[in-house]
Amino acid sequence: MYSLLDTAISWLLFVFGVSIPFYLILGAIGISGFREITSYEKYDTFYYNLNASIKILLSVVIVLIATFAIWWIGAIITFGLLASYVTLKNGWRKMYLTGFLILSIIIGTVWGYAPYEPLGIVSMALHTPVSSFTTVWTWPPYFSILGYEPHLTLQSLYYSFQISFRFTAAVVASLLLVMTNTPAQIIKTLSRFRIPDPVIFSLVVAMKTVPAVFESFDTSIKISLMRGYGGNKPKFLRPFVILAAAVSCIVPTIVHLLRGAKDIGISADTRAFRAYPSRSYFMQTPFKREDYIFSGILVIMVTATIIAIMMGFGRAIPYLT
Amino acid sequence: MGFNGIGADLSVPGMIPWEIIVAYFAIALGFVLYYSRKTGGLKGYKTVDFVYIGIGAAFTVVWEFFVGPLLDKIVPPGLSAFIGFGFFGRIIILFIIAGLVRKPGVGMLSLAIFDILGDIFHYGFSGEPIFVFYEALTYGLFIDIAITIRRGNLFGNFSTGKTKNGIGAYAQKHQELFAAITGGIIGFTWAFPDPFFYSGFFGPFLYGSIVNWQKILITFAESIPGNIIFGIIAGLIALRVARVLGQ
Amino acid sequence: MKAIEIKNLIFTYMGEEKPALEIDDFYVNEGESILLTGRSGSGKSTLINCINGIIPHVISGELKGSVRLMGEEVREMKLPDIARTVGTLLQDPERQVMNYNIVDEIAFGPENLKFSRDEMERRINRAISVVGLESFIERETTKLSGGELQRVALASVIAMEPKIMILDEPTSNIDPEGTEQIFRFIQDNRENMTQIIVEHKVERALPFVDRVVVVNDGKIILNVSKEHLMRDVEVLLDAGIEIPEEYIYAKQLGLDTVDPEVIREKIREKGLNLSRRVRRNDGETVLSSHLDVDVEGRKIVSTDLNLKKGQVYCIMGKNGAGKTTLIKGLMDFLNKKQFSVSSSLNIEGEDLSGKDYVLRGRKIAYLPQSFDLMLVSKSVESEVYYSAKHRKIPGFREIGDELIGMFSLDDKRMTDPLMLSTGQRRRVCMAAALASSAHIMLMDEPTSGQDFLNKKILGEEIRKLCARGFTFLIVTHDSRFAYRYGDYIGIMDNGRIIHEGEPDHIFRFSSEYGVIAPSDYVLRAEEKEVVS
Repeated sequence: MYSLLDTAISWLLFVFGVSIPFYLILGAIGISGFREITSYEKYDTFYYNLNASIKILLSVVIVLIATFAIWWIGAIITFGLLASYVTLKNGWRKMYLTGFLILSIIIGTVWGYAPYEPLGIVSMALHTPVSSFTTVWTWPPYFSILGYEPHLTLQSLYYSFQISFRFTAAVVASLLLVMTNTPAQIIKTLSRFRIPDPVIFSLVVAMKTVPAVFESFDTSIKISLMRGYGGNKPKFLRPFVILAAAVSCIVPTIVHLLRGAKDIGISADTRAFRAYPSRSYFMQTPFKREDYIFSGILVIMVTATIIAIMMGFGRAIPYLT
Repeated sequence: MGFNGIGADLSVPGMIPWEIIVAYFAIALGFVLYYSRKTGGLKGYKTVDFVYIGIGAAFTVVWEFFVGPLLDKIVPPGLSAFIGFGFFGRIIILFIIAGLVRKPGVGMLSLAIFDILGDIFHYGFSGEPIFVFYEALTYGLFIDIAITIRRGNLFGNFSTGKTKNGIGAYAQKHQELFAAITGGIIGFTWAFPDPFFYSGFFGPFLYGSIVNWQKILITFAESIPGNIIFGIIAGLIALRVARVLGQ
Repeated sequence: MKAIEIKNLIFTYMGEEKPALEIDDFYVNEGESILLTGRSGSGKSTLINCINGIIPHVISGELKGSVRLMGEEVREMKLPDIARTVGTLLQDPERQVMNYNIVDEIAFGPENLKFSRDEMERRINRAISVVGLESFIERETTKLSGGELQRVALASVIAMEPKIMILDEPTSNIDPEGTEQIFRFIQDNRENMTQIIVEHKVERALPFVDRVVVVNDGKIILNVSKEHLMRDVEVLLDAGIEIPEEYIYAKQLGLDTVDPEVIREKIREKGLNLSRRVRRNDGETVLSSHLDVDVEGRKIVSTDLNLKKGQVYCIMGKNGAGKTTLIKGLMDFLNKKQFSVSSSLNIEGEDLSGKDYVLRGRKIAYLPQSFDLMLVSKSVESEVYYSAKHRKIPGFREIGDELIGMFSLDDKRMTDPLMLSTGQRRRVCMAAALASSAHIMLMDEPTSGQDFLNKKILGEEIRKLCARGFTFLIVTHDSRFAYRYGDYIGIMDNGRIIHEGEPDHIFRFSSEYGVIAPSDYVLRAEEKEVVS
């Protein structure tokens, strides 16, 4: 028989999984914190001198590696790259912010996957029979309605933990691209792939707008709360109030941003935008010594991964999505 | 080992035969090319349309990658197929942009730009260009088909129907009803791609994930009510924003 | 040669019955400089859009008549070709600069025209030198002040090397220093290009133009050389255009100068008494605070601020002086991860020092520059009720209804607030902010981009509220507004309020801190206060 206390703990665990990533992000980073790790700041260290195309390649290679190689290779890459954030402008702070983001992804993925992971799949992945699994918790039977497996096992948690590094490595690499390259550099790199100019233009506008979205959204939400949204609810419920306010702030924020759209359009049109089917670029981004060095590192990483996979350190089993 | 994270595994048991997927995308692309030629393609776009699309994509990225996931954490995981705030935000914002631009192609273009931005901010260009095509030719195309069928009046009697007497023959309430119905229908169509295209084909194709048809059908059924409700809400919001911005 | 020639022009926006513009005959000679003025919504923007080809190439509608540029019909030219002839600098630099990199922004036009690399380099270098961007060319556009950003936007237009330059309210969103630099460019380049300056502030642009054109209700109602403007002062006043007081007195006294100091002397000679507003600085102290803000160990604000009941306290100073940071710091809106903030704040006897923006919001209302961001409701009524309703204040309807009446919004009660005009939206926001029961309001640049009439309405509303015991802290660049409606001015420099006092005192030396005294003050200044 499932006791009242067990039920209470189950729900507590359920809420714990739900709330922690959420508190981590809002408490430690905040919406404006995201802006810091998604915005370019001028600086002059190794990453800033690398060509954007190399960093795009880095993202691709890292996802490739994380997808095909054993989990701890993804973990090493995640933390290795994260450590290299110290070389960025305000590097410690960026490492701290991204660290929290990574932590939230890990916890979120573990709690998002572990309770649902069919034990048979986990057994295949970890080469361990289900009979030797360690049950850490048994859910109330009605949790199956939520899609939960009857038991939460240590192995499910462990397997889900492994899966999380397929995502984290990509996040660390792609944020690096955004923090160390101007949108113009990234987009110019993309223009080499023959993407139509109007699409590139939309991307330029989008990239320029992302920080404005954060700022406007942040202001809109704060004003809603300042004006009494959430009434007299206790402070520990504040994150939920903020998120509920966020929903109601979509329209004023997007209208505020879209009101300026006509001016941006006129500004481009009166500077001969779309005069020809394609346009030229004044600023060139030739490959430098750093780019060749980093290309070499990427080749080594790929080669090492291939060797590792051949040695049996490949992905054990496809994960459920 | 495939190219750019694409495992190219076509033999996962239960996955939708690749011939069907290829046929769908061929027909979808044919449709797009046919109507592009008819409507002048990107040449028929004004620069401000590209600005709208860019702003919409920026907002969608912020919402879907940063705000939506936080909201989703509040939703009990078992109900996540019913309620996906990240995805619902995408519906609202893209409907707003589609309601402003109202030209065939806006759906696909918006999704493509949103995807590329998502790559820059989050995914790191993994699996591309497959995801750009997948999302543009499913979610985006469904919006564009609606625009084509409605000859531009996606969520209300604007633009071509706008007369010298103001908004036109429809009363405001009729417009809202129309916007809600259109939004609901497009919302319903948006329930298809993720379970069928992604879980049924691209998931196993890209990452070799397991195909579970029971899960696919349940996910599909679960997502219908939420998608329709948010489609209706999004249609109404899109109509409001179009009015506010004088479109 | 005529640079611009307009004949029998009628333009009607799609879906509208009444034409937005009707011009029988209008021309601008090559090399001439024109001041185009009129109230918001008078048709100025429609006219310039007809000249730069946005109408009919981008904005749809019914266009009759002819607009010619250097002899060529606009309707028959392609937009990129028009762009080679006409350059347009818009009001808000934030809305026209797209690139992070200054050089990329300047290169945007030449890149579109696919010039050779050498030609692009020549044009970019010339634009940089004409506008004087050398000192900050390496900075990102997101880190520039409004004035600097507007100069970047200007350089990006200059790189197109247009023969005709339209400057659409180029200074209304920027600080006095930036304004000065833009006007210096206009002055220096009068010989090189035909210029059309769209501007609310007539006296600001007048020294740099040959002719003044006033648009009202879609028609040109005045088209005179600037020397003859004086005789038509009433036309400008009737059209709701801001006319400095000295113009009115000059005409009244039959003077042929508009030099405020000369006019002041004449006023004295004639024994005329100019009205002076009584400043209200004797109320009890309702807000006393000290704020310290650090960024990366660097102190950017460290100042005291006290407000008296019923007072309008204007914060003025150069860009970067810390004005907006001060106001955001008081509201607890600064990002704590980025800024280190310590503040002591006492409002109406309550210590709010450690309290966050939610609690401070009960005592202070805040209207940011982008006030639209607070409009979350679907009707004016629910927007105004919002605050008191969420705080569960009994009688929230009565409170809201009173504010709706006070801001003349009764007929808009059920309208979607986002559908209203800018001036009306600002009023809804003020009513909604005050409905929180706060009696102190912080406003950031409330006059930015607003025309004379809207500023007047705002000023009068503020005065009415002050009479009822409300207190205002207003960050503004608008000296005339501060002089007309303010009680006290604080000059901020390097994060500190270094001088404060009544406007008549402050404007004696404010120019040292980038705050130019308005002519209203100069006309009233005592002998000993005469400004240089």
